Amino acid sequence: MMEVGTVDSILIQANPEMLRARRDRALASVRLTEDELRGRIEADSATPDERDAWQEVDTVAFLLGPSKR
Amino acid sequence: MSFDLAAAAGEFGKELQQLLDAVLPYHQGTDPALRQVTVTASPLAFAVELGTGGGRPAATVPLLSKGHKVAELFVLIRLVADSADRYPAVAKSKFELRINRHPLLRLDFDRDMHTAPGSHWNVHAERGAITSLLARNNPDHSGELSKLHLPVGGARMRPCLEDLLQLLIEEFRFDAMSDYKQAIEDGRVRWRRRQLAAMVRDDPEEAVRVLHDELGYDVKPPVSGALPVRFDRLRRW
Repeated sequence: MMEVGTVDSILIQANPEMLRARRDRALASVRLTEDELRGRIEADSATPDERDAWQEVDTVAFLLGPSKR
Repeated sequence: MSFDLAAAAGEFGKELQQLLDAVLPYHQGTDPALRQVTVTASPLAFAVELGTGGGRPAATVPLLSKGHKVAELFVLIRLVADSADRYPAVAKSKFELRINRHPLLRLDFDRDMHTAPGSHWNVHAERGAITSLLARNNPDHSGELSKLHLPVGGARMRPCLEDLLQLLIEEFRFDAMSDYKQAIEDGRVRWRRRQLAAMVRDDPEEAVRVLHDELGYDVKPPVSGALPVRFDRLRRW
């Protein structure tokens, strides 16, 4: 295969504002609140966009920890 | 001993980048930054994803057939400090083969999972006989094959990403780099040795028995006394 050009991995030091902004972008992309999105995931009725958005929300929750959401 | 957990998580990301780059070719026309492994660090938790630099959402790896994208691989790994705050340990991982953004196969691990096996495959397919069996025997189950959690060895003996990559290349025949097998086998050795080390920590008694009784090594307990077997970890599915 022809190689396009590789990249190096990066380490990003996140702060809570950056993480909350990431969560807000994900929610805005599907025009749902976090509770509405959770409801669609739990009801197994989420679209691929909504599943990806939920993944973002869930990752942010993991990184923020339970006390800083 | 002081240990830089963030640096270790960064090394983890570097290993993943090297593995993916050695196994799966880049897709012509797709921004290479979407293949970049990013390790997002908060004080004691790390998310290992693809393409999230510059504030982008997590991306998938295009899987190619003769250079054309035909499917995608989603990779997410979450790390936390281990119980001794010495190493980054995988708390959760999700590897998915997707087509048209829908999952076909999922290999999930969640070390805090109790109702379902900590490590399991989900197969997104249909099979009437399984649906009817589940419906007859388990009224709490939807009957969908994709909701069946196929256990695969628990936290310690679960498959590694290298196993999935080899499946994708050798059975699905996605495009691969010419030396993919070497990278996969090297990564698998690294993975299994780490898991073996973790299992020795879970069950030092059995490790000592094998080393002493079967292999003839002279093994002495620490001055603080023999460490207990963590049966809770050996029992967990």
